[in-house]
Amino acid sequence: MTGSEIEEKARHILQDEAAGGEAEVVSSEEIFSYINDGLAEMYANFPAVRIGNTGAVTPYADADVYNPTAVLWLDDFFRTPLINYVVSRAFSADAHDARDRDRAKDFRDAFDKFFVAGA
Amino acid sequence: MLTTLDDLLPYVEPELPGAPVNFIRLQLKSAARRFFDETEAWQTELKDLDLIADQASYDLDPGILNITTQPEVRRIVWVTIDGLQVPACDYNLEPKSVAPFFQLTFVEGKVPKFGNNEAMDVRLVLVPSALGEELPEYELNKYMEGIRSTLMYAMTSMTNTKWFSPSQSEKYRRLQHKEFNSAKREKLTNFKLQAVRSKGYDWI
Repeated sequence: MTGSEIEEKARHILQDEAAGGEAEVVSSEEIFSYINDGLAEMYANFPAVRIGNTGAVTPYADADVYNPTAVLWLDDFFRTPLINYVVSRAFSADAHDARDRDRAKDFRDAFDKFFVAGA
Repeated sequence: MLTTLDDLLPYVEPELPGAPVNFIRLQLKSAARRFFDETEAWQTELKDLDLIADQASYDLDPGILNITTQPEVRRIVWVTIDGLQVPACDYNLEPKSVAPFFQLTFVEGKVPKFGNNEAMDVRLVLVPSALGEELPEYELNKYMEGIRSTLMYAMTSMTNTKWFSPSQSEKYRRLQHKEFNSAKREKLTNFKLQAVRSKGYDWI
């Protein structure tokens, strides 16, 4: 799983596919900052994500917007909640729009539900 | 036949929704270690060890699995020399810094004064290594339900996780207790169904 794959999926949900173009709503820098916030939150609050294939604890590392095809330390198993987190943050950036606020909450709930039963 | 702990994954993953497989693997190793530590069900004999005059220490090499995943020797059950049992106070189990990582050491004053080829037999209790996944096929298949129920009890008891389930936890606690009791009873009495007085976690 790479940062660019997460960005591509998030842009598809946000219907903002014009990365770098005039019609772009959310910049790649913003999306990668959301990715890093999501990685940090999962690393801190859900310790099971830190365990790698060899059973050793994987050290934390940020995704790099200038190296978007670098493989993330996070296992592919957690692709969906990371995408949900990024989309939730992108929607919540526009706090004045009630529909965006609702969508942000839906995706945040989907992120939480992945880790905690009954969330 | 199951050959590694990973072969148990299909039997546990469906009941642990949202649990990362790497985390389940760690818990499997821990469950196997706990099961064999509590029940002492994995035992092996080292036969015909050469006894050397005035030598106090003898390496205990189970001779199974590779060196990095060698099981731990948890306890010496008995030692015999020429068929006669050596009192347990005459020897100790001691760790070593190089492989094999355990040795039998006779205490001062009890070091045998005579040598004899193939004179000594030692029976050991083994516990799986914390690093490795392998277990002898026979023990893995025989005690599969015990390891599985130990894992499931531990995982379903983890609060604030998606796989937490109080009802499943209680079910697997009882199953784990039954499997521990059965393995321990069989090891002590050589009979599967022989009754042994058991009260809670007092195994004898």
